[in-house]
Amino acid sequence: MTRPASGGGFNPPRVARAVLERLLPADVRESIAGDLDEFFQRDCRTHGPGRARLRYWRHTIALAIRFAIERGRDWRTQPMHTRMSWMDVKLGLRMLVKYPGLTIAGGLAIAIAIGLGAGWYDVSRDFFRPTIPLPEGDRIVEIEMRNPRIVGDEHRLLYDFMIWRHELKSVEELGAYRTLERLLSVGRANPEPVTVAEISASAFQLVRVPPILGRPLIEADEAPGAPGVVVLGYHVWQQRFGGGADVIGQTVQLGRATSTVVGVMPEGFAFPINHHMWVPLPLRPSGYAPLEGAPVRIFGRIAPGATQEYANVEVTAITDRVRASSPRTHEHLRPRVLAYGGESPGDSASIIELVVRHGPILLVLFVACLNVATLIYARTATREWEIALRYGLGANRMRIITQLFIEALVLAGVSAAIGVAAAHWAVTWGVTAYYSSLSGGAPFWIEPGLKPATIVYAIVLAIIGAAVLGVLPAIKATGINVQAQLRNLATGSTLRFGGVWTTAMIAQVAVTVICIPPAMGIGEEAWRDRRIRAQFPGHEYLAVRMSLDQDMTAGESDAEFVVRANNTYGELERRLAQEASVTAVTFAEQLPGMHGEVRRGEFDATAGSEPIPIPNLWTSTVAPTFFAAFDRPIVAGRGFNESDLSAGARHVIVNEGFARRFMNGASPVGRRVRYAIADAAAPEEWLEIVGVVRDIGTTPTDLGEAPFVFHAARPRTMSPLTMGIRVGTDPSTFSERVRAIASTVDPGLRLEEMRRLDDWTWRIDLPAMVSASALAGVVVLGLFLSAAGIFSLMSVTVARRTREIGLRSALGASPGRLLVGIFSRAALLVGGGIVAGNLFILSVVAMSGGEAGMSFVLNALMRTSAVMLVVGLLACVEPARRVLTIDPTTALRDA
Amino acid sequence: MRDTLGEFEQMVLLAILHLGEDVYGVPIVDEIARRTGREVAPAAVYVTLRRLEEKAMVASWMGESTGERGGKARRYVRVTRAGLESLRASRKALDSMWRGLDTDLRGAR
Repeated sequence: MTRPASGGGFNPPRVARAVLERLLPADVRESIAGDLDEFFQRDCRTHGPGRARLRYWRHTIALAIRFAIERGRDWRTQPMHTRMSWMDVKLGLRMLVKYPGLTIAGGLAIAIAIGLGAGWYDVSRDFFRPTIPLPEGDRIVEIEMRNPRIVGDEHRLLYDFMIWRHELKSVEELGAYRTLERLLSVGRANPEPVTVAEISASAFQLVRVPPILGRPLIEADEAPGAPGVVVLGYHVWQQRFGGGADVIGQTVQLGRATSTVVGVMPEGFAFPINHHMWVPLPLRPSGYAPLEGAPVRIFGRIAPGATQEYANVEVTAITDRVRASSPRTHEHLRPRVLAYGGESPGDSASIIELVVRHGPILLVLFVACLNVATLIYARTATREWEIALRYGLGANRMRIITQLFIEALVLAGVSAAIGVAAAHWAVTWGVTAYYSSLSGGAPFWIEPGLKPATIVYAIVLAIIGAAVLGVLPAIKATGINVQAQLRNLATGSTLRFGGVWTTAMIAQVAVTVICIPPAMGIGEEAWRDRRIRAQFPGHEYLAVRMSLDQDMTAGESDAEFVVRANNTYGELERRLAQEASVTAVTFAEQLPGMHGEVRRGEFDATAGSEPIPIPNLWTSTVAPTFFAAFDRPIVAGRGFNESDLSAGARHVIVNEGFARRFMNGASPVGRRVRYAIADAAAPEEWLEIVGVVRDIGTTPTDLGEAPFVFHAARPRTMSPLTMGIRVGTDPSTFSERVRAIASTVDPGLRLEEMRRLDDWTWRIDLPAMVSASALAGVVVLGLFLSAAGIFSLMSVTVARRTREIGLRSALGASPGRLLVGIFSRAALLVGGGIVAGNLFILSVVAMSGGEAGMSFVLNALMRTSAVMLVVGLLACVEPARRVLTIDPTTALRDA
Repeated sequence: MRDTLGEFEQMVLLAILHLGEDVYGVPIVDEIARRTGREVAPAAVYVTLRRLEEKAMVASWMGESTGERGGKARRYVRVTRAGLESLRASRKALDSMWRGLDTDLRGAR
């Protein structure tokens, strides 16, 4: 410890001294500080203390600047092999083997952080601004119309599209499309379902990709009365037409329409999404009324000299004018020009976009690195001898920091490779699974797996990570006075965990504590739902999403379509029921285990009293055969009959879950229920409960099976329409038979998705299961890192205080007292984290008014605290063993 | 090839030689200021000393702590053989450059 400079009673400025302490190289710090003290005392005598202080500051600043320049010069002039050598890398690899605990714990944390970061970056890039693999793909845009009053967008845009096409100057080659599922019949071959884009001819000018055979669609093809034409995708051409050049001019049957093949597009071309056949989009020359016509999507290319921002301004101005003339339809509509395939509304990334893309990644990485840095700091504490020796042999501080950085870089690099490989696998699997339910597969711009830019991003993350977890401990470890270090090494380690590290570890324990209850809750719920749904015999059913379009090209009227639709669905049901293996056929909007619609409702339990509000009421529209097809008997009242199918019918059936929850199990038949809407002046009509059906058992909640209200309807009025077929054999083998029957009943009938019902349910459960598993993984990792941090802290403490422990042991201290003395800090750390985490949870629960669940929360907190305490104690076992095995004689002799 | 010495490096080395024994930062700064008549920044001297030590032209060692400097020890320096040789080489080079110019630059001196 240094004494204050004597003489004159004045001292140099404290702050300047502290600056010198920090900035001067360790080997000259003491001597230069002493010299400056000498200058200061002399200046005090000759110029007075005020001017002396000024001069002291001047010297300090000059020294700081000059030594900073020197450091930079040294660094630049050193050859690369002395800055970073292959030896450093080999040493880093050796460290991975020498400290397996740190390698596994730290490596896992970094791998997860970088893996999550790379995966999120890749996915978010596709979400905001995907790379469109077309000439000047970054200038292609989509115009959406948002309606804040509904979830999703308004797509009935033919009226707006025709206005935009004439007036928009900043977007050119404007076009529209819609996706149709059609049965393609070529010659005598069996018809097969295909995804067709009904699209504006301008699309082919926009994409700037010429066909490999024939011609693309042209404007004349869109004219009323023009002969039907179709452009084929490469694979359709290869698979259905044998890849022959004579395909041009052949006629094919697409649903009910006959079309002539006029062109073939090259391999890989699938604009606008994942389409492989293109037919002209027919537009009525007389135009459309607002929100009239088929739902379409609008695309275009930003005109030369224009920007996406300007296009947004222009399209908004046009829509404002339309809103003034058509307030009823356009009052809530807000157009947006977005990067094609993405959500980015501007030419360059907005702050929000950047924050969403990079914020979570950097936060996770920083937290993970800070955790691992504590472990590396602890390891560095055990290597003080080595560091001091290197100083002694002439290495400068930068060289030692570089070595420690390279070691951290090796750890981060190996972890990043593992993390990126895992992310690649996860993204490939996730993207494939996500788009497997989409007819036609993934959009043409989506490539499963990480992109090269993401790999580069992961490398940058690894370097940033290495800088955080290697350089921070290295600066701390090399910043102390080397002379003192050399003198003190014999007495034990001089490094210690200061306030920053301790606070970081308390915060980490607190965050882990906060994460445990929601992770347990979400996990328990996900597994409960899965377990209950798995009991339902979904493997016996085939679920088919289907639809039938009105044939506008053939001039089919609404009345004609109603008759055709009723006949088609009726005939399909009859033909399927005749199949030997089929035991039941039914229709519904959603089959059991699929996502149901949830609304707010009111139950009129007792005449004259206030209705009981129902916050969540599940509702489903079903055919009268629905309950029998799923073996669910009517337990009170009656089932649906023909009279319930009429437009004015107000009869519903509820399930036992409804009766249990709102009638204590008594029959609600004869009572009324209705859906609640925000506008009380115009409430929805009451519906009479005519029956109670046994619970299906695929919608579990915390209070048992969810309350359901079933409506009866004909298949034609259901949207979406799902057909359920109970098949004795494996349902998936029956799917081809269903397609064959459907094509003979009506070629225009589209079977969009067909799979076993349990497969459908599994896909719905999967995201919840993945989320729960990921959250559980994060919590386990948090517990693991907390334990590793506590272990590091205690290991360093024991190493530092070996001599003291030996001395106390020699003086007769009991093992219990020794342990209490050493481990009180760990107890403070774990206890502080648990208290902070619990206080946070309790304050959140209290603020959200969750008094009813307070006992549940307290129970969860007790379990959480117990888990954290056990983890903390386990982390102390090995350091405690070391304390108890310290031999006083050896410890004192070594000192 | 031997490192060439800059002007300030020569001044620092010469100041150490003039001072003889017990040479450390403060007297070096004073000596250069006294002989050149210009104010010298201590920072420049310390950086130069460190650079000369890296080139092995100066050797240094820590002295004992003294009460007058708040307990901080002095770092004493001396010129090494390599330093002396470099000084001689620098002087020889300068003499060679000056030779024959004394008459022309008399007015400038």
